[in-house]
Amino acid sequence: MKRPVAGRWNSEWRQGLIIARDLAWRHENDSDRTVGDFRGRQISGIAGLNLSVKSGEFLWLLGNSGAGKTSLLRLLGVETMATSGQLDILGTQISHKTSRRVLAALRQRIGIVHQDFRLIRDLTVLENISLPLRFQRKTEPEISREAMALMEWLGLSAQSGYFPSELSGGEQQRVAIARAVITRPDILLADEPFNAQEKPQAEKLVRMMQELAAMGTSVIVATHNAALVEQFPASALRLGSEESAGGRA
Amino acid sequence: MFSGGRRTRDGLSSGWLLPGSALVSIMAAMAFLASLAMAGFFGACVLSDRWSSGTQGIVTVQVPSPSSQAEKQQDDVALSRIDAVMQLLQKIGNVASVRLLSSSELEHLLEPWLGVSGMAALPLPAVIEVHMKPGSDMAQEVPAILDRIAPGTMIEGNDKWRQILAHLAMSLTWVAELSMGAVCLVLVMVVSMVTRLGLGARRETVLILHGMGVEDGYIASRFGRYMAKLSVAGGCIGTLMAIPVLSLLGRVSSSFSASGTSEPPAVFTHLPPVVLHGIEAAGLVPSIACGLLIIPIMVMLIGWMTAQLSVRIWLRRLP
Repeated sequence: MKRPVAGRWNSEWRQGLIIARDLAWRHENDSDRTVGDFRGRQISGIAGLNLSVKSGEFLWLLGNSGAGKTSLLRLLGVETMATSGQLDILGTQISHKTSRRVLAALRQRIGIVHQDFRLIRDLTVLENISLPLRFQRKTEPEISREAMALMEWLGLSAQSGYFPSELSGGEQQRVAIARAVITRPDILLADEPFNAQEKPQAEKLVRMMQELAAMGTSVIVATHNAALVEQFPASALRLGSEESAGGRA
Repeated sequence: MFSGGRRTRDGLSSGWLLPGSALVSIMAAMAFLASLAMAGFFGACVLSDRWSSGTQGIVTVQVPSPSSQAEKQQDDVALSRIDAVMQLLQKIGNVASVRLLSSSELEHLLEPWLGVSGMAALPLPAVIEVHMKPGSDMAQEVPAILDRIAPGTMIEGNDKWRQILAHLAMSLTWVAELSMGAVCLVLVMVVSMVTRLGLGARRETVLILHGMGVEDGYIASRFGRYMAKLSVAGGCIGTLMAIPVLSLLGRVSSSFSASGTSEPPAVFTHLPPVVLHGIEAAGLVPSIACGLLIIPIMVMLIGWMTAQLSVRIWLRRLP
């Protein structure tokens, strides 16, 4: 892992949609670097992270389990606040002083695919996927057109009226991906989005995310799938479980 | 941001968000208690008003042997004791009016103690009702002067009793206000607790929506609207349940009311006669009937505001 030279580093930093300087996150009660998320899974802390992600950049987020990938994605998705350091996302400095309205507006511009999918169990596939567009007050024909097209592309048309509990893990994951990308967000954050997919489907999804990046969305994908990373080479940020700071590979 | 202008399936659907039927029952019970407390408050206010103003500024003067001749003063002509006292009282500056109670009024006053028969055989004193001007009291030297003209004349100030009764009525009003406050406090606590239960039940959905950029106001308003619906339903049921009880209490306590009915508030003049007849038939005092209309609205507002506030406070834990 090599850090860029200072001059280039600084100029690149200024162009970033996501800029993190000496970023650290640790749970308030964290004594051993790991805490539980809202479903009780363990979430690792991060420390001293520097990062700059430009518009339209596709970035693999790599590292062993417990390296802090999920923590970083939660930070970048404004689902939690950094313990220390500076974080700028889409031109907004994220801190406890940032107004809640601004943070909510920011979240609307960020699509997140969680490892546990986080689908609303009482809504059908179509309703889950359409929800972000409804909150953006799109018209019904527009919502219907967008959602149907996306579901067809992801092979979910037949399941549009199903509830998440009636779907396989892979299908649920694709619904989560569809919900995250349907608004064409400025930033897409995905936490192990292919771990429940067959290889062809995973490749198809990576290509879709790269197409999104080509259209200007900054995409960060956390994965353990080394084969996919090798097959689709791109910038990578490796978080070390031993090291506190992350570095580009 | 989406404001909820059209119906959206968002996972916070009200039908199963909270235990609705249980909450309506609790709200109904609270509204029932609030109705009773409110009626108690109005009743205490009426009593306080009546006791405070009913005998305010009235002094009773008893003149024994009214027909006997009064003690002669300088340059005075011979007058009966009652005429002399009346004349003197009318001359006092801060006296508004002086009225001699007729023999029939006197008999009516004494009837509970002496009965109808045999009253004529008793040497009854004459009773004069002196109305003082507002804010003024009988001068301290008056009793001595009256005693010189008509020895044995007694002046009885009602003010002491009036003050005791006014304090009692005020205490009753405070108790009623405290009861209303306690009911409102319990209502707030119940709604807050139930809202937190609802948030617990929908925690994942709320977190998902929050993560999607849904504003606190939207989530709070979804809970608030649902709570308002349940509250108004419970409020109406509880108020309707209170009407027969208050009606019965109204009929029982009507004997305490001197005039029988009180003047309806101005708002009642706009009501159709059928409604007014209904209120009268239910045996409700118009002011209490008016207050009963407010109870469901009050319960609804408390439910809505408490739910909104509880959700907003809960969401503050999230970034």
